[in-house]
Amino acid sequence: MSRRTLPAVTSPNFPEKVKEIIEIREGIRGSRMNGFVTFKDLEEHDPLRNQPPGPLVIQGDPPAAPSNLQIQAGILGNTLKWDESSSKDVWYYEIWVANSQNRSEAELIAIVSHPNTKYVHSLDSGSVNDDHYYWIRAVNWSGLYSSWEPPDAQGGYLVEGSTSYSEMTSEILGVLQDRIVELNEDHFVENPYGVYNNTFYIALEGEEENHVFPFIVGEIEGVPTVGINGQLVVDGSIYADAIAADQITGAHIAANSIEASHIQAGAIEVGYDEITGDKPPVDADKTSADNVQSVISQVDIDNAKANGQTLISGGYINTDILQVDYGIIVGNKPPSDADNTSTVIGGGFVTTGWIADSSSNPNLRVDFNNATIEINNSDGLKILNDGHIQFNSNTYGQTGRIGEHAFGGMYIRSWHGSIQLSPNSDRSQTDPFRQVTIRGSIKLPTSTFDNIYTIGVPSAAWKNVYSHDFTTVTHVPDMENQQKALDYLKNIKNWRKKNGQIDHAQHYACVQHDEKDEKTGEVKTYYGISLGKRCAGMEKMIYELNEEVKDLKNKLIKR
Amino acid sequence: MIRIQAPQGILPRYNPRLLNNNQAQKAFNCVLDQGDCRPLKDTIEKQFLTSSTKTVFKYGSWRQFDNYASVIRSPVDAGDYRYYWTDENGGGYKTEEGKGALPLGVPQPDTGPSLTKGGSSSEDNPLRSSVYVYTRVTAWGEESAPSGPSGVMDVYDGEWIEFSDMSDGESSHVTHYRIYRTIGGHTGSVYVAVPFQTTAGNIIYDGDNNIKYDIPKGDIGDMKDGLRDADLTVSMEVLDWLEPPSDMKFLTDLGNGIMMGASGKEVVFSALWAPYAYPLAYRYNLDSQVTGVGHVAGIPVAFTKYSTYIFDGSTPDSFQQRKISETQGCVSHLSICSTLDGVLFASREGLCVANPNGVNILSLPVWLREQWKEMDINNLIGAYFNKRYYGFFKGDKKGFIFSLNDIEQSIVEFELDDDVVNVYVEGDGGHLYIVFEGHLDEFDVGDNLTSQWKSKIFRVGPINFSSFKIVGDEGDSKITFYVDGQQKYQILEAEHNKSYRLPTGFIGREFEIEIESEYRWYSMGMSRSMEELNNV
Repeated sequence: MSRRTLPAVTSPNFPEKVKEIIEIREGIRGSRMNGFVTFKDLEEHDPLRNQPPGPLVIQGDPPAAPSNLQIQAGILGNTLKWDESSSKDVWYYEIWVANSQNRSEAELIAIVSHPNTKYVHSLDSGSVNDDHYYWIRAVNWSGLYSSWEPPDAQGGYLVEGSTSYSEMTSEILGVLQDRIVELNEDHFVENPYGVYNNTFYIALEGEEENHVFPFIVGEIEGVPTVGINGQLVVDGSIYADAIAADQITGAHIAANSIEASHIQAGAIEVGYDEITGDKPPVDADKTSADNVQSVISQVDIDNAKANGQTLISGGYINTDILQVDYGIIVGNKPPSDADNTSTVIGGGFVTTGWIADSSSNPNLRVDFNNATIEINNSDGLKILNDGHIQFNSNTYGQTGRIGEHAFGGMYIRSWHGSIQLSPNSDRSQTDPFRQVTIRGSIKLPTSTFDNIYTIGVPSAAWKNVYSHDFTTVTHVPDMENQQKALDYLKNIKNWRKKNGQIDHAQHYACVQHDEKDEKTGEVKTYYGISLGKRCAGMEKMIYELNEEVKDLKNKLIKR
Repeated sequence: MIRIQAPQGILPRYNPRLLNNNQAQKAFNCVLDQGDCRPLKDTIEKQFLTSSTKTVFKYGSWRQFDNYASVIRSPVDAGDYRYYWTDENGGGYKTEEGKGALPLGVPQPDTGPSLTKGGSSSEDNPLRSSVYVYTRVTAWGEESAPSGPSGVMDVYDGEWIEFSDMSDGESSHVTHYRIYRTIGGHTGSVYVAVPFQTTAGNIIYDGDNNIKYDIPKGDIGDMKDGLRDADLTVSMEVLDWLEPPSDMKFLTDLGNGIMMGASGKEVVFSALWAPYAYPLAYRYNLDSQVTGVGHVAGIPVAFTKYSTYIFDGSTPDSFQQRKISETQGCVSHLSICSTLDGVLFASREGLCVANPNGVNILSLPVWLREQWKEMDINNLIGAYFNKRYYGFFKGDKKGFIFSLNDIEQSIVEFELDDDVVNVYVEGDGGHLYIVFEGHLDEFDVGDNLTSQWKSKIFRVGPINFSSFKIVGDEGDSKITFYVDGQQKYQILEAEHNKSYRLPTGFIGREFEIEIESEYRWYSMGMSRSMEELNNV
């Protein structure tokens, strides 16, 4: 940085003193190539005070004066411009101003660092009416001053004060008004630009008439409008209240509202608004259409409307995946044809007003191929309106062995829920609940105890009721032969003990079933004991126990 | 009987007849650090790279550089994965996670601010005469060296100074300015920081109630300095905090808040905890072009092609440079590894270590100077890993492992599948990575390669060995026997821990045994009777 040079001062010990000043001043040691001192430093230090009598001698030539001072008067300030000094060691320019040509009254108001050659002298209301005389001069790195600009023979540069503030303001407004009027006419400022009253052109390279008109200004139905002639390329974002276009293509389009006769996209995400139309893609919290057919592979509905329910009404939804986070209300035609096994309805409430009259045409059919339904709420799974759950023969999976999940993937996991099975009047459905295996406990409220019973052939029914940890049933109020059953149990336990068999029947349950006597045709009610606890080989045990009960009963009767 | 236990590495310097029994003529793809011989593992590809990648660096995610850059993490953890680097041919840069490269330094403003007086005064004597400078401050809080001085302005009571003609150097990273002015004292003037004021004389405080010195770029027009000298207390620290030299390279973190680099013949150091500032006073000239730098536990070491220098002292302004070798200089800056025991580097005469005690040629007991020079040492790339020096050669598949704990007995060689571009040791995870063209592999982590170990020449004859046994992990090895320099017999799958009878015709004077194996083995023996093998 050669801009800083020390003033040339003749003094025997001057270099040493300057070095000392720099060290103290800059607080550095080592390289001092960029150190500097001010004249004030020199004045305050030994080089001046203690040197032998004699004036400080500054060597070198003063800088050339700046030139061509021009001042543009303004309301808020006068703008000074000048040509820089031709000297190479100019440090800065001083700006002096006075209210008369007497420079001795002038005041240094600013210093402008070289090579800047512009300064705005701000005027306040108190001085705007005053005349101002300006002088500038250059100062070099040796501290030497140039002569004044304007030269003394010419005197200070006069900027007359305005007669009044309001007068000046009116004048400026008048100028602005003229400009506005002028803009209503065509103007050709200079090549390569041409300005018409409603557009402008830009000249391209080549032929003289090779112009482009990037836009035109006008009105459409009374709305001031700017038309883009050609493409509009924007690197950043476009923010607008509305965009209407024949086609919008983009990797990511985000808008509060999109209306179109046809929307095709890899994924459409809609927040809280809706998509309407004859055939809208389904990706909205609310859709109203006769036929909703998604062209996309997945429909995500993240948020419900304000009432907490996502509404899809009146449509026909054909999509691979329908995922609803907060709920669906389905109107006349429910979502169906979910032909992808990954259909997910999570945590929602599904209802329908359309009742099917045939099991082959169900009102709500969801095919789960090797999929799992999880119901994780306290309300459990309800089948209303005399409905039923049908597990077809091809619904297979683990076969209900004790200790394993059972029933072809039906896995109920709930600490607080319950299973309520209403009587099924449709006996044509053979073998409902062919097997039920329950891992864990069943808690049976006394009032619903009699809701567990078997149908069909007793032996088959008995055979297919398993448990490995029945909770003790303490009250069986409406089983008139309860005591008998308990006695049977006692006898069974004794019999098993006597025969060296381990008694696993720490818990028990009483069940009943009706059995038709093949000889007499009489239907009799039998009471059974279901034994609990983990018990290998329980597959036949209950059946055997049942037979034992019958034997014991017969023996008791004979006695 | 010939018995070899605890196999060791090669010593090419010596005649193979003069080696110790467990030293090798060939130790290829062997790892001998546990007293036995296990095969080196193959490399495993960890990362795709662009084909032009020469340097990788992991900080958060993997960074790639198209030249042999010197990259360091920011010594100040700002949580944004800042890192700094110099290019192979010079030029310093910095960036953070997800951002583009920025120049390493903060450019010093050239011209001082223009000053305008505001207010008015009826006083005849000025309160002060001030010269102002300003600095640029980046979004990271980095501060440039000051601008040139403004002119001298006398300020009277009731007046203030406003500022203009300040430039950010067209750098978007510069977000603020700091203004300093001179205040006079009994012994001289110093630059002190001027707090931000939008009303002259009223200091603005930040949210932590600290005086606000950083003036947002856009607010500089509102700045009005009306404070008296007595109100100013914070002296300038950045007077000499210049940008790094434009051709600075070899950027190295000394680990004590000081960065080190080189520019031509100069070694340059940063201001403390300021990797972007390289004061002139912190620059030291060496006798010729700097070929690399390193450090021993924070003690700087610099190399020319022929000399090694060390810098004594604790701070860069007081370093005393000391030439510790006039014969050993660094021929490949990629060979330099800074360790706590010294700076390892390749000289013309061998693999050396430099520390405050001087320079020692570590490899002299292993390779003669001539043997060392026969290697492509100008392209040697070193990695210090697990107390060993891993030597690779740029553009070559071969390399060597040099155990620093047991130098004379632990040199092994290896060969990779592809030509090596560079290596990288991940400090955090303790992984050694190899940069190949287009991919980055981790070293010695894959399936076992086949180790090859060839014994010294045993001169014991004439004698007829009849039995052989190799002891090791369950597995087998291929054994080749040489008698008097001729391959005599091979056992293609010699099961470990099993004795073999050798065929007749083994009479000779000089015996060598070569073992190729994918399994670990500990010892072997060749004897004239099966009984003797029990001692193997």
